[in-house]
Amino acid sequence: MAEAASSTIEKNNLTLKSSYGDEFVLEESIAIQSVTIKNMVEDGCSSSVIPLSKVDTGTLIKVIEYMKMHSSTSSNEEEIQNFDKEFVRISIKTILNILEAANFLDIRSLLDLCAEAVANRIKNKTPEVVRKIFNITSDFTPEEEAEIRNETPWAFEGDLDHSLD
Amino acid sequence: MDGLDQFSKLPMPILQHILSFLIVKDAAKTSVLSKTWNSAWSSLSCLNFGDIVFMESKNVLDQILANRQKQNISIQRFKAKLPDNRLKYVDNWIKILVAGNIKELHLEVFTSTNKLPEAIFAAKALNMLCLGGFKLELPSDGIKFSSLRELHLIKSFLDDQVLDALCASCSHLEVLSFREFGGLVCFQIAGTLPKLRIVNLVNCPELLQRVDITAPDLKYLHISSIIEELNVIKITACKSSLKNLNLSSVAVTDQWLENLLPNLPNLELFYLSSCSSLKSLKISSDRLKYFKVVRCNNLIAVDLDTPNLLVFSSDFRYCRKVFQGGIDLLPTFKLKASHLSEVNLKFIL
Repeated sequence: MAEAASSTIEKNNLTLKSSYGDEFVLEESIAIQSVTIKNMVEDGCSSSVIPLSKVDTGTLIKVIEYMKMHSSTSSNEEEIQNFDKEFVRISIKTILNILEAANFLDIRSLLDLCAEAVANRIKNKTPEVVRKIFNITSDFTPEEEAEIRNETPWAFEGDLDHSLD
Repeated sequence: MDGLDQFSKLPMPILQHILSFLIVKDAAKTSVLSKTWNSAWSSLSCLNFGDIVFMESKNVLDQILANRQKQNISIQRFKAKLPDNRLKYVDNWIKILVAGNIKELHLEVFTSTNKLPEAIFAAKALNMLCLGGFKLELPSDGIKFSSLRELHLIKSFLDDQVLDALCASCSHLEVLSFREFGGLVCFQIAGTLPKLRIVNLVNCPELLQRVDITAPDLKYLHISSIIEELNVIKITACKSSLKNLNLSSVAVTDQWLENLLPNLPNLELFYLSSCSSLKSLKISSDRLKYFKVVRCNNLIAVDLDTPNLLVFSSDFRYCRKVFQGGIDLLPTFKLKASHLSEVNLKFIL
């Protein structure tokens, strides 16, 4: 079919290389959801392999999975919403890795999705619980912490969620 | 445990982006987590006080704004629902926000309707404005909303002149949404808004007598009124653009529809509800995909020649009359729709 032939010619592939050296071949039309990659393509630096020194293999696999879903013309809005919901049901460490990758690759919708997922895990929790969930070490002295707490005492009033999920 | 605090490595803009999805109370709580988080909170430029009325004292808001002013940080987004007794301070807050070139402002005052502070009309950088419980009056210095793309009014008042002035000065407006509004006699958009895509007029008041929209790129139009039935509606010059039309409690007559529909060749979704003037309707379109006609109690005939229709919904609400007067009171349906995948017919006793 003439149509199929022309679309094969148009299909340009790009190779993305993770920080571990693993290479992934991806259609250009999918990869350019990343503004960073799009700029590289437009500047003509995409003929060879695109090294992503800040993105490890596991993270890159997730990012590619996201980009593929979001560029698919066969999936409707509801399917994409469900995909997004499932996509962020992962460990906080993985979300943070993807968040950093999305920031570096400049994929706005993925950045928003992960930032909101992190925010949802902070919502209504006590600072003690948030520290535990996110493994945050306080660098305040107890006096400093008390002082900070005193700047916005209204934020610490009311019922708060002490659970770790 | 690797003892790695991944968060402290995150760039500050990402940390702030995370905080922008939280309401202020949750965001402020993160200030005690660590020094990095504390500086992310104290420089946060998106302030969302939440959907419930923010009852904390005036000083809380004053302090949050003053802290940011001190650091030369402009608020990008501000959302708050305030109790009536805070109204006297709103003027000053708005001045601070406008001076910092606010982009997105959601302000709602709980219970009564109050005059909107004039200072707001100077907000040149404002992209999105949502107001609840305000009366908009023409400002003495004119309206400077040159960047405004979305205007949402809820339980607010404005008259025809204010609407005219808004239309004349907001040439980038894409979305106009008025819900439970008052004061307008005529909602008229006379072709001054080339980018207008969405118009939502929900629960139009009794006072409103005419809707007249000329907008070349309008895609979505939703009109509903509180009373039976909003009278004159003119939809012109959105000929090829309109895709989604939803009319509820509007005086739609057979003739009006017959004149309108040939001018909307790209209509994909068409919903009619509570239009009791409608008796017989005939639609011929190869683009229409979703059609719903409900609570139109005097409807006697529906004739659809819509080869690409996917979903059709209707109801019979006057079946009491059916039993009294015989079966001929049921509307007749003539459907030519070979792609139809879903039909919903309700028979309500």
